[in-house]
Amino acid sequence: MAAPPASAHRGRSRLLPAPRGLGPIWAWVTAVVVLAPATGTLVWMVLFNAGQGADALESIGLARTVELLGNTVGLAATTAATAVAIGVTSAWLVTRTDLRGRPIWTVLVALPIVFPSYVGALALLGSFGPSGVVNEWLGTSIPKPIGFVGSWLALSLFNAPYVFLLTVVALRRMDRSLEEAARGLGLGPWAVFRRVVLPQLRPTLAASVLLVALYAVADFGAVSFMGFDTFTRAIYSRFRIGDVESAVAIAAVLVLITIVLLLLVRDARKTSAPPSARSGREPVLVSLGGLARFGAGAFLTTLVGVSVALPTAVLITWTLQGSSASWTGLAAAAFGSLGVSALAGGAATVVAVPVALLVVRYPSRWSGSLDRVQWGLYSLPHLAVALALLVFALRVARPAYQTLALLVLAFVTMFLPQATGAIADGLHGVSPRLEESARSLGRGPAKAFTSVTLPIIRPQLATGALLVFLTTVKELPATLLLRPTGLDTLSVRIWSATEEGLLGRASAAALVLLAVSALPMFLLSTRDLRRARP
Amino acid sequence: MTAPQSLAIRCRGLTKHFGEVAAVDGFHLDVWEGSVVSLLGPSGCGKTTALRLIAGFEEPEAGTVEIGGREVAGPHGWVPPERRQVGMVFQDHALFPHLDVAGNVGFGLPDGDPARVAEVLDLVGLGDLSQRMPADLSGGQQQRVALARAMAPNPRVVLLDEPFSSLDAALREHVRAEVRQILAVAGATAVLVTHDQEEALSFSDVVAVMRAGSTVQVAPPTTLYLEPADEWIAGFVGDADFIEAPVQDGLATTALGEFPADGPDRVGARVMLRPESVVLEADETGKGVVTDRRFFGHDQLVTVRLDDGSRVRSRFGPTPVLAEGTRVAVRAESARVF
Repeated sequence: MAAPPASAHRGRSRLLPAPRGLGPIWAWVTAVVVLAPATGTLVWMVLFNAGQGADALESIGLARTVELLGNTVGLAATTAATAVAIGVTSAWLVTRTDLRGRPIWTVLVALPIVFPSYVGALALLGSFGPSGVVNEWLGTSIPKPIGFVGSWLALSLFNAPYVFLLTVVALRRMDRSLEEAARGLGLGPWAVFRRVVLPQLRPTLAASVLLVALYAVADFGAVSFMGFDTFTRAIYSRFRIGDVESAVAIAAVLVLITIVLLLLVRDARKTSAPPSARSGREPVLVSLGGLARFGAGAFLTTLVGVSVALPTAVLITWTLQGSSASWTGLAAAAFGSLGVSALAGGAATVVAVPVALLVVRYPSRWSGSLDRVQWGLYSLPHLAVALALLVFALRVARPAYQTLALLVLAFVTMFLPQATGAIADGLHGVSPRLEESARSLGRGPAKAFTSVTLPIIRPQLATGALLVFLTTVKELPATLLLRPTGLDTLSVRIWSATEEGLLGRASAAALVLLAVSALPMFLLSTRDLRRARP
Repeated sequence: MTAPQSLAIRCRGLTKHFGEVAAVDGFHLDVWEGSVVSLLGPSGCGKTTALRLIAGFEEPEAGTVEIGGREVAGPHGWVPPERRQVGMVFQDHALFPHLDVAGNVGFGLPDGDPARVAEVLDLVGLGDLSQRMPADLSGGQQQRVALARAMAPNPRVVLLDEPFSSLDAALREHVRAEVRQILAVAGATAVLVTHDQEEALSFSDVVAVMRAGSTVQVAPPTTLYLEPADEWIAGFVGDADFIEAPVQDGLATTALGEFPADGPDRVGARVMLRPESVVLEADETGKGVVTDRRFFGHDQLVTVRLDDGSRVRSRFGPTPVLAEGTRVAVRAESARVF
């Protein structure tokens, strides 16, 4: 017998009513209490606030709304195209050519993933213009890359590593014998790439384009530093002058755009073929001729120079020059960041356990919806989710306004899938027979879970908490909107110092931020890469 | 609804659907104290579901389960698995990977009772491995730890769900004998789920054959093998050939001899022959011809075509050698007439 009947039934249960019921009440109560405020307010913003929203948009002006839409969509499109071009080119170079030092290039090209895009934007601002680091070094007078160009540059450079990682993993998992067969049929390296590799990469490319577009649409920090008017910047400036009505109206449009992109991502995922089986052999590497080798080297050197070396050098230089450094302020911000991020990581893990339990152990239409809601909240622009919780506090739960609890709730709401994903991984690895054994040995359902399953998934609990911690450390817009008075964090300090033109102070905070998060962030982001070792 | 004291398990009319599919359908079973019963059936016959209904991992839609005379599932209520006093041994052993051997065995004991842990580990012959982690044990050792863990709290009954199928063939028979011995020493009541008829026959006092969610024959191994209730069971529990013969006055007359038969006189009764009971002898005037011969060393399986066109197999020791085409006399020492 290949599989015992019980597991066969479990397989069938996908199509039929779940045999195990909907799951424990306490798990549902936890999930609903945590996710309902943001979800409910967002639904209200989009569906039931249309009248007021239209009035607010009218007061902003049609031309202005169209301009915002054009800016946002244009930035998303150009950023996605550029990041995908950079990411795919470098991924192909490090996986399919005989370029020297490919393992080192792989690490270096992926490295900018540790820079939040607003820190990247800060570094670009610090490089050029009067007293720009690069201008001083080279004696040039290149203007600050503000507006569209600056936003496009920052978002492209610091999103390209995500595309790069996805593509490297896809390329490594591809069955190399197809490419060898094509070479055997007389195709040159370029023809093989175009006719064999690229078609297999199409799902990865589609997913990459949409993911980068999502990032760009949601980005707040970089466009604000560059002074480029997209929806997020407009929302924040409305909020800042106390015009919450308009902020909510613009946010509703932003949420709608994001939902359209999310639906496209889902379709792209659905049509994406599973990675084909790998043959264990090393690929036949394309040997680069002299000119191509020089070009490839120059391309990667420039890329890494601009996206790793330059930002690092600029941040260090400004920090050292910064006459306005206030060490006590910096220390307070660092403690604020660590404290609030630790709270968020812990709280998200506590909430993620019941949510992951429902999604993994009690598959049903309801737990499926719960899963979609948590991923939806994760994918929406942080600014929109934070604004929704702000509106919720102002209108429904006034005492929560400007409390630490509301800020932590925002982080849990936005980052929950990072923890549930890790925990779900763990739960999938724990055979239900273990808890059943514990039941037969006299433990009740709750005791069986806490004495067997929880200890076994401890590593995944830690991974989930760490992921949420790291994401919270660099979070900017929600922190700006919801932080209680008196709480300072590194991201807020970078923000306010840059607004005031104190690049030295901003750079010092950015370096501390990187010191805290860079290493674990890099290791966690490249997990798939290491699993798909060539 | 009081069952006799000596019944450890009593199942009546158990029914359980998964969606539209009836996994268990009107399932009956009696297990007497101190006996070892096998639930034997092909893949998908509901035997594991029946075991899980007894253990309390599934709730029946109809029917009752009594353990030690107490109703644990049925119209009068529901007792969760942790209060049923059943020990469970799973196919994948399901040892807790975060606990060592002593931790696993003591899991169901108050405060891990070290004296009882030592006692049970000695029973399964693993007294010196109490500090090992499950990952560092061989498959056979894991099996014995799982058994020790299940037996430590002195359950009323030990339930074993295909416990040997994860072991490789060389090890399986050895571990099976050991487990049988351990259960016997402890005087434990046990229910074993298996799809392997040899395992069921050699392991248990009583075999319950299952088909389509219910038991079709419950009998001691010898009875089951020699007097199966129907042709399907006959073929499922061992090799069997069937020939047709007329029955008159309680006797079926075949080319291989006359055999007692129940029921009315009839033509075309089906006669089951086990290959071990078919005896061949080289004979120029015999009624069959050898058409195939498979040699296994300790025995051989010879196929004979009878002159009426039917086909029977005979299993016997390595000699004599009867080559293909040899004419043989054929008789059977026993047969079952349906």
